[in-house]
Amino acid sequence: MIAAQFDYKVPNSLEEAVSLIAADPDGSKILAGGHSLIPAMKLRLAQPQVLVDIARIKSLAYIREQGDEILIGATTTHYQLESSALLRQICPLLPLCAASIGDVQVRNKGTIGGSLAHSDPAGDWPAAALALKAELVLIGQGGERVVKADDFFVDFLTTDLQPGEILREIRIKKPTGKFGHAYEKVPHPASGFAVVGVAVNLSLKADGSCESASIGVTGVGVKAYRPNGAESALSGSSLNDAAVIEAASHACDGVDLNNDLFASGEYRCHLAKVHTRRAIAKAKASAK
Amino acid sequence: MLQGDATRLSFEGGTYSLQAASAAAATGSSDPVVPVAEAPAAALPEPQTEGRTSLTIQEIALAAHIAKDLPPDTEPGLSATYFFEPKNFTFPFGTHIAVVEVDRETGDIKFLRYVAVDDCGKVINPMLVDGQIHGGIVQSIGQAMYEEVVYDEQGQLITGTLMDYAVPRAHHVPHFELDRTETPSPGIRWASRVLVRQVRLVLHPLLSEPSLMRCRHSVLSISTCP
Ligand SMILES: Cc1cc2nc3c(=O)[nH]c(=O)nc-3n(C[C@H](O)[C@H](O)[C@H](O)COP(=O)(O)OP(=O)(O)OC[C@H]3O[C@@H](n4cnc5c(N)ncnc54)[C@H](O)[C@@H]3O)c2cc1C
Repeated sequence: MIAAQFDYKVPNSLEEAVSLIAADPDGSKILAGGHSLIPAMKLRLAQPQVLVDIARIKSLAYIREQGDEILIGATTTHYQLESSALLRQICPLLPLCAASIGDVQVRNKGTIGGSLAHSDPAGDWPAAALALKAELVLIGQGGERVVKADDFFVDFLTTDLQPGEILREIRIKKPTGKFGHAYEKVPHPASGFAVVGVAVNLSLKADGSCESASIGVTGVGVKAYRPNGAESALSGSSLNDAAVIEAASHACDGVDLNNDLFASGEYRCHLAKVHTRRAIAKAKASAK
Repeated sequence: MLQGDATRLSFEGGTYSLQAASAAAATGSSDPVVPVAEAPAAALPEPQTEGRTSLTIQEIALAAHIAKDLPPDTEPGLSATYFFEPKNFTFPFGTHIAVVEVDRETGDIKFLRYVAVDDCGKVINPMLVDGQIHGGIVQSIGQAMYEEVVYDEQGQLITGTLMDYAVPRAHHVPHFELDRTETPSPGIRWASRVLVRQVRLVLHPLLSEPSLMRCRHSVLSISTCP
């Protein structure tokens, strides 16, 4: 329960952080909220030589509108996203997802950037990022690149982030027209993490039928994913009960199912279908 | 009342159901103290203040300990150890009703109401009695719905942290609607009964096998859920 020895660096700016980790890209780790990294270090599952603490860089925590986009700084905490009046209005999926994370202490420290970068198979943010088709801005010594959420989550605890890169910003297209959001989650009774989490982002036509749907599912496989079968069953559909049930039946198609003490793969898949159906219904009911 | 402290008690069996007896012993033991206090009475000082006809327990204790003018064959001091056996053991009793809603699709259990009426005889400290009931209910909910120590085939404990082993937290438990009756216990001087255990004994069968918990594990074939 005691971490291995490490060096601790506190940069004052993003540029300084980038050059600090560039000095030893493989031995360094970014420290944000520390609520995934510190436990891993205490168990010695992670033994970084250098921690570069970006949580103190004030300019990295923000929620702002710019043109047709919402920009979120990587160290914005779960709580800041949960309590944002702006987001409740223009993108309610983000506060809904934030509110479901852990407990108050976790939400006060944990950051959206840390959660996405960690890509915990039971983390909530990856589901929302996928459903909102977020774009992630990564910065390294070589400059910036933008990666779609679809390409960002690679495998179990693995993302497209390369050694020496920092996730700087999350960009989301502002939902327009008539849209509905929902996040449905089965929390693990001990940890609070998602046994299953389903984020739904519906775009509706004036007559209430489905223009397009994007869905993110977490907890079920090694990484969060979009259930393509469910999305395509919805788009263009009337969103009546039969269409929703049909779509939800594809919630875990082709997924290598997680299996643990709390929920077998079969039970997880069953929960994913039930909660996908409920999330779609909720998103539809909330549409404005 | 002192329990569970082997450094201060020569004989101690831990806190468990029959510890009501300790409370009873505390009262029972006041009987043999009385003769001790009577013995040195002859040697007691006159009340210092004019017109006073009594002494405080402190004055008596001091005189008994200083032992200046004790009659022959009288032991100094003012203490007694007293063992006794109650006429019968004490048993609390009560009824707990959990009104739950089972999600037929997921097996989730939601409490709608939790009503409990218990009887522990004469209530000495109502706050402690309520606390015992709260604790008992929560512990039972944990036992019936969440807690399990599990080892894998290699003998490795896989519920070794509080991230895996669920202990119920405030949001897992319902609002408790409590009431009580007071039926004096005939065998015990203070008429109290002991409560600790009974709540757990009541709730466990209420929530666990073979009724509700089976639902969670059998939702895949929901027809078997009672
Ligand atoms: C008791 C408890 C309950 C929890 N419950 C939930 C839950 O219900 N749902 C949920 O989703 N999460 C939950 N979490 C995890 C929590 O949300 C974490 O805070 C989050 O997953 C990681 O964010 P962080 O800011 O703490 O990152 P850190 O722990 O600081 O970092 C995590 C990893 O990401 C890297 N990293 C961090 N920021 C960046 C960046 N900007 N660029 C590149 N790499 C970066 C770090 O190097 C590290 O490898 C829980 C945690 C605890 C302790």
